[in-house]
Amino acid sequence: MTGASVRLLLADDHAIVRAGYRHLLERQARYTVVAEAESAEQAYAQYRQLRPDVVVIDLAMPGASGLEAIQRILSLDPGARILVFSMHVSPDFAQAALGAGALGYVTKSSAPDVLLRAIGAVLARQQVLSPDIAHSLAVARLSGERRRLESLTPREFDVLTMLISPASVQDIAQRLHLSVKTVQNLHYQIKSKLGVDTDIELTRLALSWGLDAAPPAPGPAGPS
Amino acid sequence: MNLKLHLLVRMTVAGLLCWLAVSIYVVSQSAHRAARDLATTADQLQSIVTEDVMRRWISIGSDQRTPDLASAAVRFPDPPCLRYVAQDGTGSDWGCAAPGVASTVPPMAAAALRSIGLEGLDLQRKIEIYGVRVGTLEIESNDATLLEAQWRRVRDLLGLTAVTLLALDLLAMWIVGRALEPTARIVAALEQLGRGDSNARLPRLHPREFTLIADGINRLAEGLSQANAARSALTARLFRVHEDDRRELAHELHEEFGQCVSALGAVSASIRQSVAAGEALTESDILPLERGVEQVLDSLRALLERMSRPPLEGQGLRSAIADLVTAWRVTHVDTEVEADVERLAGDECALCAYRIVQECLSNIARHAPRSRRVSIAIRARESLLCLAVRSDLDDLAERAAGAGMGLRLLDERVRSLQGSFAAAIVDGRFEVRAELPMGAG
Repeated sequence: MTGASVRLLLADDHAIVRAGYRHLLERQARYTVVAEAESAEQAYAQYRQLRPDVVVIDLAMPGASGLEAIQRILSLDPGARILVFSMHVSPDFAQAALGAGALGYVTKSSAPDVLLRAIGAVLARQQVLSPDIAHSLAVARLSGERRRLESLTPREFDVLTMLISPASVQDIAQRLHLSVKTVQNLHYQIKSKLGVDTDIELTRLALSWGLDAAPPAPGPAGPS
Repeated sequence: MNLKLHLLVRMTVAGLLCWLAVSIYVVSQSAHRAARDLATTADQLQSIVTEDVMRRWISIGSDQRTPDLASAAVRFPDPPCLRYVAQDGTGSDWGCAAPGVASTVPPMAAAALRSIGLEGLDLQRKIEIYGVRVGTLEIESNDATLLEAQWRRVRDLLGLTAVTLLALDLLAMWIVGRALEPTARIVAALEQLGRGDSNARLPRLHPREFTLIADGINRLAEGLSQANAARSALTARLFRVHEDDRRELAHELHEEFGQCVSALGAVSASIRQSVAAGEALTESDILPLERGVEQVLDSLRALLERMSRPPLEGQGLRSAIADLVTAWRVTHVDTEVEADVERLAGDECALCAYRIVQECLSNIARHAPRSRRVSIAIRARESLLCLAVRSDLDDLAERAAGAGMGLRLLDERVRSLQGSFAAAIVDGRFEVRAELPMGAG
């Protein structure tokens, strides 16, 4: 990779974020932003077409989530190098992203050079976390309270965050391109793995873990 | 004083009053009977004495013309004082001396007995022979004996009354005590209710009146229980709405400010790198910064507008909505607000309608800026304020259609005013409809 420009795909639903980070990344001599995507579907399509060296992707996007995009990209190219760049500071999101196959997780509240270093690390296929999320993750693991959450698959984690956003089973099915029956099964499995019986308990547990800190992207012209 | 003692005291007083009334009646009746008896005795004595005097008059050689009162008196078991006065002034008497026995009647009782008619009786009877009056027989009742007899009767009655009252009191105490047993449970249930514990319930009680009271208390407890449950539900709902509000605000901060600030940080770092490297900055380097700042300011203004209370009282709903449309810079808006709804300017219904339009415009501006046809219609239909906001959907919005936080909050708010709310995609357009009872809140 030395000498050659590193080709990046920037996937984020906020145009201002894409513009800002494109500006930063293109200042770096070795990085080139070859494509931008504003949704998980676009990110997957762009990856398939351009095969960039590193994908920098947000988790919360309209429609299918970033986790969904990560899994689809990795199923297309198991060698894909993906760095999650998200507003979520909860260690559970980082855990879910790494579980889905991402190599790194950097919060948007981190200094810009943290992102640049993280891209370098991911390029070298090293796992990387921004300092704030590394600390949160270590504390969460020490406390052991979130073991149950770690048992969720990325798809289940995605559904859980959507359920507490709140979104109906029908909405989730539509966004993740799944059948309502599948989402209902996932809903049941999530409750079973987390050891709760009702949706109220599930929401309380998720809220206690801070999974609602930043809900997913809102709906359309209707109220968000 | 408890109810049992209270009833006993009153029963005893009533018994004593009965005794007094019966005593007066008995003494009074006795006095009348004594007067009648004395009159009868006087008539009989008149007859006896007349016969005796006649016999003496017609007896030859008899100088004694005064009747033998003693032989006349002994014919009666309780003879009165007899005094005979002949026409010539001579006479005799019998049984008129004081008995010489101390009276057992207390002076006050004697005075009381006399006051109800037990006074000495004095009767006179003419003694005539062949139509010629020969003397007068005076008959006087024996006061002391009469008083003694009446006093004995009164004492007997008092004793009887006392025994009856005692027996009645004991019996009443037992019966009333048994009858009032449920009152302890009723009082305990009321105290339980007073402490705010609505689980107090009473079974069927005897007598029927207590069952009615128990039923009333049970209904009260049920009402209290329902009121408590409703209050808890309302409190929980209030907290939920509050939490939803906070999450909405957090979402807003995350979606708008967090992303913008993050992007501005990246641009700033990029510019710093260029400056440090001695590169010349161009307008294109500053442009992202300016756009970011502009977006932050827009978001801040929108957030402040959404958080602050609109000046509906002074401005009216129609004018306030026109200002909203201008403020959100949403083009192609067809606004139709009936003149009638102006009078709703100051109430909760108008505020809710305003918030719905505000939320819709905010989302159109943020998520469907390419919307070419937006229509807002507010009409008054009978007692309902009908509101509809319609907008185009772009591809992205259509894919992401779902129930958001703001939508849920609006739904809650409209339902709290007993209105109806619906948001759906109709004929390729996103439509929010609400019906609000006018005068709500």
